[in-house]
Amino acid sequence: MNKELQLIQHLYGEREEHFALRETLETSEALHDEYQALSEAKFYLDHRRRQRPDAAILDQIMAAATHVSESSAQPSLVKGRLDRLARPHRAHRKRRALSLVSLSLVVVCAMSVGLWQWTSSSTPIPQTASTETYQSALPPSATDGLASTMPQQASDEVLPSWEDDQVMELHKRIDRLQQRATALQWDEPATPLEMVPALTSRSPATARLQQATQRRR
Amino acid sequence: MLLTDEKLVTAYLEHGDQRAFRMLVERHQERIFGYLLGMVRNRDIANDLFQETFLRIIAAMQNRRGSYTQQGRWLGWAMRIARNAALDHLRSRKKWQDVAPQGDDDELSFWDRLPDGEPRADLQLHRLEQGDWLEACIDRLPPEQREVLLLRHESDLTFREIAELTDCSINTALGRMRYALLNLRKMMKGTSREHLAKAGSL
Repeated sequence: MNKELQLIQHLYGEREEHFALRETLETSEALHDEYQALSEAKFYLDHRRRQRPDAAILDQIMAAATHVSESSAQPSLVKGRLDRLARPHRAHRKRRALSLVSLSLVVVCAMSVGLWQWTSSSTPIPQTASTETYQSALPPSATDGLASTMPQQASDEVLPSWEDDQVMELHKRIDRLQQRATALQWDEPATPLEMVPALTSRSPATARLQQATQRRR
Repeated sequence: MLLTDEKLVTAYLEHGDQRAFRMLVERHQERIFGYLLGMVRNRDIANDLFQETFLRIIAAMQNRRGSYTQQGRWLGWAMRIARNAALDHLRSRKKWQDVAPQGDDDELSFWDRLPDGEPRADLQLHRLEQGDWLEACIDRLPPEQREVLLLRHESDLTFREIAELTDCSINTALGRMRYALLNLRKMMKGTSREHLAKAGSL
């Protein structure tokens, strides 16, 4: 950097440390005259009146700054993309729908199973010869105990599983016995054969029984 | 304790402190407006450019992807915005010629050494009558010399900051300042002592 430029730096307080102004000015009269001219011009520039903008301009700038600051503080469209609440994802909706459907199916299946069990347990058991033989073969005391305990056991026990057919048959027999036990007590007078609907059929055994009844009368 | 520019900016951006921003504006209003007024030489236009400059400043500071990184001097960054606003205006009026970067730092272009030849008789006469003699002399300087002078005396930028802002070397910035002072001195020598006394009292 030449000495003229170093004078400018020195004049504005930005001189380099190794620059010696006095020695430079003493060695060259031209530099001395130039430094004097530069100093004079700078003096007038330093004492110029500083200019300011109109007050209304400042008010408008502050209004704009306030508006922008308040807008940036509120969630905007741009910020909304970053700060908005998370929307449920499409996959999440699908999962929810599937879970609802499967839950409904399970409920329907359970209701169907329960309904089937209920209907199968309430179906009237037809009178068979084997049932009558079983009933007649049992002593009164055993039947009585059976009548008192088996129905309770039948009602208290858990329903048999689907695969246990023999258990199911046993429970059916118990239900039949219960019906007969509740309908007829051992100490009650015998019901005439004519009153028993099952015995009104024209079977040979039925006819002989009817004849025996008439003779006794 | 005097708050630094960076602290005022932080208070405004992070806490919405309007008073901090107003302090920042009032602290630097003369530096920025003085430069703009010296460049466009019209007070109404300078007011408009001043407002536009600060609107751009506000937008750039609020925008997280803006150019302000809070590293370095805030005034230098703000002056870049002001300068761009002034040059855009001058280019639109075809009153600014972009100068190519100088290859040799010590060489200045021919017209950098000469006063502005464009006669502005009406403005100069008006200003002379109003006592703005010194302003008239500054107006006569070549654009680059006038700009360096304004950036140093109005905006208080260092020559290194001026060099970065005007995209030239520090030697070029110093050289332009030297010729601006010498040209002003020549113009002052051509006037009477009465005008010199008026300028000194301004």
